Amino acid sequence: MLFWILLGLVVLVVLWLIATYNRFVKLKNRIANAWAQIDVQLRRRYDLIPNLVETVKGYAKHERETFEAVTRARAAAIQAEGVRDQAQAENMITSALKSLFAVAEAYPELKANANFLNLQEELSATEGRIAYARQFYNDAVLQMNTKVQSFPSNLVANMFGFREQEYFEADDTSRGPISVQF
Amino acid sequence: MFDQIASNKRRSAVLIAAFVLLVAAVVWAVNLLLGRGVPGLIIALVVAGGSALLAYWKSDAVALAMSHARPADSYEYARYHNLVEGLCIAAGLPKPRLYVIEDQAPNAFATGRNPRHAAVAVTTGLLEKLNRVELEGVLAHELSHIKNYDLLVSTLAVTMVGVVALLSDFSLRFLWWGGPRHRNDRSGGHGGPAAILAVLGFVLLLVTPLAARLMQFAVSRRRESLADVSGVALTRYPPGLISALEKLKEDTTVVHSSSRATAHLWIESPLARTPEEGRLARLNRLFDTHPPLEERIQALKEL
Repeated sequence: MLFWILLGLVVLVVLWLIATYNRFVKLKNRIANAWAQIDVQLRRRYDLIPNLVETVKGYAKHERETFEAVTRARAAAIQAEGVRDQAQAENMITSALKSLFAVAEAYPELKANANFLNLQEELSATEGRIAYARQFYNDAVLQMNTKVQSFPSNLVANMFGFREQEYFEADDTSRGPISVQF
Repeated sequence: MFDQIASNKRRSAVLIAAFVLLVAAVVWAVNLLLGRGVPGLIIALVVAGGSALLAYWKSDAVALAMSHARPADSYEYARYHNLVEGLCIAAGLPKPRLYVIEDQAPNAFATGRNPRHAAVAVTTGLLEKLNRVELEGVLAHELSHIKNYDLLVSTLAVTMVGVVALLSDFSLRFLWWGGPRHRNDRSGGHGGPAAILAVLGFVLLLVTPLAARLMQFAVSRRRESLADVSGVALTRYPPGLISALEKLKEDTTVVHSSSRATAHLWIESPLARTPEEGRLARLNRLFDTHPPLEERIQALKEL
């Protein structure tokens, strides 16, 4: 009789082990997917920029420095390696785009252009998407870290080498006050 | 915020468990009075479950057809599409089909049996009257309904209401027309405890359909609060939804093609509401599919 009870307990423990291990695998993959998704959104932003520059150039040919700043920032971001460099390049794109839109304010025909308005909407939506992709990544990391730290799943984590992951944090420069210049 | 979500989920789980207990009580009563409890339960489950399953499977087509929704073009409604896409990234959901309803009343609903077969519809009134962050708050609420499988939960509740109603109805009719069937010499007719139990069973059969209905409405209200808080967990920006709900409160236009049957799906009850005071008002509120707007706004402000 005792044998069967013990056997039942062992089976339950093994089932729990399998379930917890699989959960860790799922969480780890979700984090990897979320990280890759951030890149997808960033790429979308890079793809929108040339179109925007062309549209604005059609109306504001003389604002050369602004265009070149945006194009350079975009090229730098595409080539950036590593999280820190990429974050810095992204910030440069953001400020270059801000100047571009500020410049566009002075050209009323441009502001009425349907293509320009569409691109503006797409770009601001992309900024939102990038933010949400990072949020999703951080949420996935939160779930993973909680599971790695809690008892008894931390036992499984230690056994199979599942570790805590790093959060995506805002760059130090972007935490400072933002200056808007017109 | 996460605590709120957990507490809402716990309370709706408790409600569902209470529902199951209610069904068990009815089966006990029927068994006591008629001796046919378990077969009755099976028949009632098949009938109620079958019709509910059909409704659940086709829920999106039915809801969209009933409200005269048309697909939202992605160029014309770029902002609507973009906001939903962003929120889907935050939620890890596939993008649902988007629809628009021609109606001045601001309202929205989400439907579909699971995230991959989901649909969201908004009225043109909503798109016109809300600004970007408010619209985002409302869309986040709708997507949370999809994410939390709220249609499945309400189908479960509706099925159990159906089971209880069918069982009680059949049993009461049998009792009325045929009289109780005694299983054997032991039970019934010995007075005292048996009679009390019989009366209790009878009262249960009378009362439970109403109780089940009230519990169904309670589940609906609980899931609405959960969707509010989950929506804010997506946007991380409570003022968006708060401002949208406040605008909805001010606006008293009623959706043209609404009905009691689909009232629970919308973000705000689409039926006309008259503000009332007094004891009767409290009783009336038990039948609401949505918590009152002031309560929802208050709950969000406390986050």
